[in-house]
Amino acid sequence: MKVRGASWSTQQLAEFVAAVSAVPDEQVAVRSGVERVAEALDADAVALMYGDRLGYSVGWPADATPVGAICESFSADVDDLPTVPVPGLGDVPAASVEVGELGDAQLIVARDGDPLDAEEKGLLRAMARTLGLAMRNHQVVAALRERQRLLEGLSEIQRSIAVREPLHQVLQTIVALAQEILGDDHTALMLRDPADPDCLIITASAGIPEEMLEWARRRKVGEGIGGRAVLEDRLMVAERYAESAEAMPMFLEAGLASAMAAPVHIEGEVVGALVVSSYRHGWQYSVADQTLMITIAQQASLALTDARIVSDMMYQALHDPLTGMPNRTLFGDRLAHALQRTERTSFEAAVLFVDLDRFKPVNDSLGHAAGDEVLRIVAERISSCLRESDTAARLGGDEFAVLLEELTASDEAITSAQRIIDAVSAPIVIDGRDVFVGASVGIATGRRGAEDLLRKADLAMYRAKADGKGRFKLFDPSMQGEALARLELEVELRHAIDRGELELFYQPIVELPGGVLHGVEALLQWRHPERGLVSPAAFLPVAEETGLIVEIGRWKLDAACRQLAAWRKAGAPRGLKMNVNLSIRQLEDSGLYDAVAAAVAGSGIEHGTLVLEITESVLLQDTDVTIERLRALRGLGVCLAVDDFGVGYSSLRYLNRFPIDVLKMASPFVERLEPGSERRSLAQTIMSLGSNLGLQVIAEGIERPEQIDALVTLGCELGQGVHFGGPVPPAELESQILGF
Amino acid sequence: MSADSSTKMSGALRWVGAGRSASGDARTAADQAVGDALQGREAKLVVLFASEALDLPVLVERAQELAGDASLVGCSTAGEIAGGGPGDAGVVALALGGEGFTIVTAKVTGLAAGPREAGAEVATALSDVTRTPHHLLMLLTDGLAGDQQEIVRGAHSVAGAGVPLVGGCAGDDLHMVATHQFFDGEVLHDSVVAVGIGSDAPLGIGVRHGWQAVGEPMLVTDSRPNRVDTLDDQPALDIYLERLNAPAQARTDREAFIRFALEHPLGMARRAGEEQVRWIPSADFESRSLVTNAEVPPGALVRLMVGDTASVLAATDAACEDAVAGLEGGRPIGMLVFDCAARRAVLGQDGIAAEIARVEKYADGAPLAGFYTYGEIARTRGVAGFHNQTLVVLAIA
Repeated sequence: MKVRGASWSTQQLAEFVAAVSAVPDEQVAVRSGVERVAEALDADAVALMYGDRLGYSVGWPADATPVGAICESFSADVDDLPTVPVPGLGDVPAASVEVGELGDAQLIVARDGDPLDAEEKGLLRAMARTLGLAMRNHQVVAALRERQRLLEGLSEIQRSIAVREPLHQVLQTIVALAQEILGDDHTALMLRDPADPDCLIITASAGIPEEMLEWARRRKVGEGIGGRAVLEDRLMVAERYAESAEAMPMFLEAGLASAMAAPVHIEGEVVGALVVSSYRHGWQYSVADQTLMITIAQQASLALTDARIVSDMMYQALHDPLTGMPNRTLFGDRLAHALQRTERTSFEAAVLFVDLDRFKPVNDSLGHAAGDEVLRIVAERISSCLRESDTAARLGGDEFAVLLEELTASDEAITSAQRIIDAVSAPIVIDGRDVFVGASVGIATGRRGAEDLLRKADLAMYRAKADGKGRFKLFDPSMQGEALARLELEVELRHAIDRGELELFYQPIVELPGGVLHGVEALLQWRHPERGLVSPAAFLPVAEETGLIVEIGRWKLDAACRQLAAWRKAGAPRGLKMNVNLSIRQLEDSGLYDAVAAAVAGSGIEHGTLVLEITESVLLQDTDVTIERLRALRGLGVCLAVDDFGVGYSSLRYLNRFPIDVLKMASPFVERLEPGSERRSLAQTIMSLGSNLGLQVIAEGIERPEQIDALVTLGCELGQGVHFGGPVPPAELESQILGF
Repeated sequence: MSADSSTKMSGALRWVGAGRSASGDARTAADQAVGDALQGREAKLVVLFASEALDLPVLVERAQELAGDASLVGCSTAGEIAGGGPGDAGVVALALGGEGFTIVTAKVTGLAAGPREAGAEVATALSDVTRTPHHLLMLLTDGLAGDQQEIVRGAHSVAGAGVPLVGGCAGDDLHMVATHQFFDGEVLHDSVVAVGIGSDAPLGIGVRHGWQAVGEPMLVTDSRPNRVDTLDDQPALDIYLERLNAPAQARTDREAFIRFALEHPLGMARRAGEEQVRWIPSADFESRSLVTNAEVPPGALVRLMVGDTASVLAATDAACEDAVAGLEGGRPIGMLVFDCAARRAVLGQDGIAAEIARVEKYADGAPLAGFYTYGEIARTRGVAGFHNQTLVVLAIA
């Protein structure tokens, strides 16, 4: 036997310290420590025991450490020198030493041959103490690391919620974190089935094999630990699953030993549970574990709540709030997808633009609440005309769009359009009264080009309106040309005002039968440099549509008033009237009053010389607003005339309500005035009406002298028509105006 | 040349045979070596030690053919040992058979990735042999793969204190590039092949090295499983070369260093018995670290070890004595020798011839086979089982 160097044990200890400290975790430290103790002391076997539980051993064959025999040998009431059985060596003398800092941990060292001498015992004690310190250290570090991991895990979840990762991904991350931190065998998140809220379905899971998921996926609320947590909205803990009241037979059979569940909420309402479970016996859920469980369940609640808010927002962003229909954005998206599908098939898609014909009057006369109701009902009716695969959307205002898919022929689109028109034109009951709005529909079919289809449907719808409304029109290429032409005209019309291309012609209004000048009607002309004189019929509709009429109207008022003022200055008789047409669009313009006031004041014409002519359809509106406006204009010293009277549907009551001064009898009534003719009777009726209501009547469209006589007989005092001269430039009228 | 020995035990014949060949042709070499070892008998085990100079796949395949139903294990070497003396570039075979021997073999690949696991796995496969009164586990490992100490620890964790371990690390003629292991006709790499030998008669193991520690100890301040990075906080290679006053060539040329380091191992103090020797197979000139093939843990105190012919040969005697003593009075019918390649360097040509002659003396005519290894395995007591610069002798009664 060699004599050991004095530093032998010190050096062994130094090596030992280095070995057990520089290791990544507690397990490795234990293993390394036990092995080094064995090597340093040349032991045959060494075991680290925690009370009666084995931590690690070396020297016995795998899993054959005689834990019972060891415990027995070292129990308090044994007097003999302890021995432990080691296969191949028999009963080997052993010593034990406490591993400091670790409660009831002991190192058992068995060595055949010489017993441990003093130096060796000293070394052993020092190694045991060192091992204890190192393990304690590792435990602290492990706890810190775990805490760190938990914090990291939670912020990862927070982040994925914040960046709006798909919900299923966030839920999976949550479940994975729970699995990692709590260390159970199975982790699952179960949520109420939206189709059957009494049932819970596993929506995300970790550690659960497919086969198990198949039979474990569904359960009723109240069933099992998870179901119970949902029912009672509280944390459920079952450390001994077999003894728990909630144990489900199929899990008992599988051998589940413990489980824990925490409820999950959306805005305070229980929608499911987070559940962990384990097969290991003696598995415990400490207070810390339970708190963790609740914390993680809260994360799930946050994620679900957030997802609901987002999905609500998404819904709102894509749907019209009033009717619940898809909005323009969603419609565009559906159209794009439909066209992608048509690329692969021989089907076509159709876009229908549905524009309501008389929504505005209804809205104005019955109020916005009623208008909204009308839109809702119309939306329902349109939707009811469609198949499952079709989409109806509200584009805004009173405009709707319909997408028809899988068409084999445009006939199908036509049929749908007619169905829609019929449905919408049926009476709508609002506050007990029947309201009628109609629809004009433009149809465009195709297999690609969303933008194109939309544009064509729009053009076709416009055409349907122009052709008389209440009908559908299938797009045809000529509409394209029309639209282009219209666009061009619009552009030029805008410039016309600036370039002074607009002119006023005047048509005389005379006293009957003499033909003495009573006044003139101002009529707009457009002298286009290239096109020449463009008739009002060609550009007025465009002006109305684009709203240019307002600007043009202002100019007209101004120009007409100035002209009258000029004539007056030049010697025209006082009382000469200037008639100017006012379109409905101008009447709607809130700046009308100011425009008229400015024209009158600016020109200095006398009260009662400006006559504004409005069409009969204005009387259909019967709104207080309109009446007020007209009254106000009257207040400026302006007279009001109803143009083309007799051809509209005005009610007599309306006639009375409006502040009218003049009725201009429409030309059809002036045309055939032979005695006994129907027209004559009608003309007579109008004359009576005028007389009874104190209104002046001007007969329009006088072409032949015979008409004059008849009218005079009827008592008509004023007339207008080609017989007395058509609209001419002001210069041509001068002699008539000034000379009389 | 062949040797043969048999004993009548419990009514049947136990026998051990050995053979060798110096032929450069693998097939011929197999015929000669294995043929001589078998002598036409049915063997239970054939152990083959062969040089990389031979075409190993051809050799091993032929050897298996000749071995028939017998299990075959073996490995490449840094030289061969047989009765008659040491040799190079050749092949040596040992065969055993007859009643009273229980043989189980196993192999595990993937040593470098998990030496402990590999050791444990291969020991698990051989647990049946523990039923016989005398038994041990013989391991032949890839000496250049992984921490060899861990392989032994792994095997010990499964086998336990009651099962002795013996064996050696395969070599590659000191090239330090790659070694090979043989198993049932296959040539493997990065593997451990093992034989569980169960016997009715005793088996004896002796292990000695004969090196002495000199000079002041140095503290291993930084090391990894197969590297010593710093000694006394200085680059390990630099300190090593300086303390030993190494020749210029050894400081720059890898081959020269390898030969130099062979004779200059490190040693770590143990409670009793000889120091634990750690061989330095080579060095990493870039990182200035020493390469080891077994752990030299941080915090260890190491000393330079020197060996001279006298002490080394004295160790040879002691190892043989221990091995024969283990036979409990019986005479050996065969001996297996695992001799560290580094000892050849110290002893020189004459020295190793003398060493083998001494071993033969203790064998007393019984067949002898072995090889020069990159590390030796012997665990009879305690838990440490890996050695360097050591002679391990296994005597079979």
